[in-house]
Amino acid sequence: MIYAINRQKIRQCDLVFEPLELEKIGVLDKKGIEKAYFIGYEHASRKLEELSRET
Amino acid sequence: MNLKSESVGLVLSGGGVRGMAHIGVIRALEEHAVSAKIVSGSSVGALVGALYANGTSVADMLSFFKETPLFKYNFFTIMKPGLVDTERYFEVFQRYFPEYFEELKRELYVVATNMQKGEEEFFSSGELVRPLLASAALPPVFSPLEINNCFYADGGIMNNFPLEPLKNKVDYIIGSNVSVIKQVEKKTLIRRYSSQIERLH
Repeated sequence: MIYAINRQKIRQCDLVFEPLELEKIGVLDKKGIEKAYFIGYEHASRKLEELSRET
Repeated sequence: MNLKSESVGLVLSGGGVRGMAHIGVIRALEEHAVSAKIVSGSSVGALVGALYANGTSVADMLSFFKETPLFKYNFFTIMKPGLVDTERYFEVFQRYFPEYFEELKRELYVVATNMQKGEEEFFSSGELVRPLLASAALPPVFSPLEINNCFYADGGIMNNFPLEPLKNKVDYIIGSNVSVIKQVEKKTLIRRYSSQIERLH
């Protein structure tokens, strides 16, 4: 139920970063901090590049 | 209404170590000269949001999470008896954050779960560190935190994507959601569980 509410709210954003690759990071992952950071950075950079090309 | 608007709001979800992706998102935003005026966060998103609101550099944000053993609550520690005492983090947090919300450079909203009422509650003024700790106090690992005679726990329990405070306050809302769920096949699920169990032996 909470997941459904969240989806609704996520759709209200003008821009959403939601890197699905994060799924690969488990709680046991010792390199989790770096991995997640880079996944977020690359995902957002890509999306922002696309956006600046469009406008 | 656009990205370079003067009035951008940023929502940061909960999601444990995956929340480090928020820091990467912030770096990308900074490189594209996008700056948020208001930030709202839940759990790990509240912590990253507070660092961002405080003007902390991306490098220092990463050091904060490396130095603060927040994500060491892996499978094995859960198996040990006892909870992590959330109060123990108080001193470390005081080194990175100012005392009050009002001292931050950006407007910040932090959501935590009021355990007695079973409701979400937003914090945006007054004392900063306790609401931050409460927002990231995920049971059963972290003990709930007492604020004004009420016990609070992880904001993600009731509100993992706290967009509400930004409504009608900004022209452009950016969301970073790290609680991603992909469809998983049954076979994969079984394989994952059995490998986790093997690691315990």
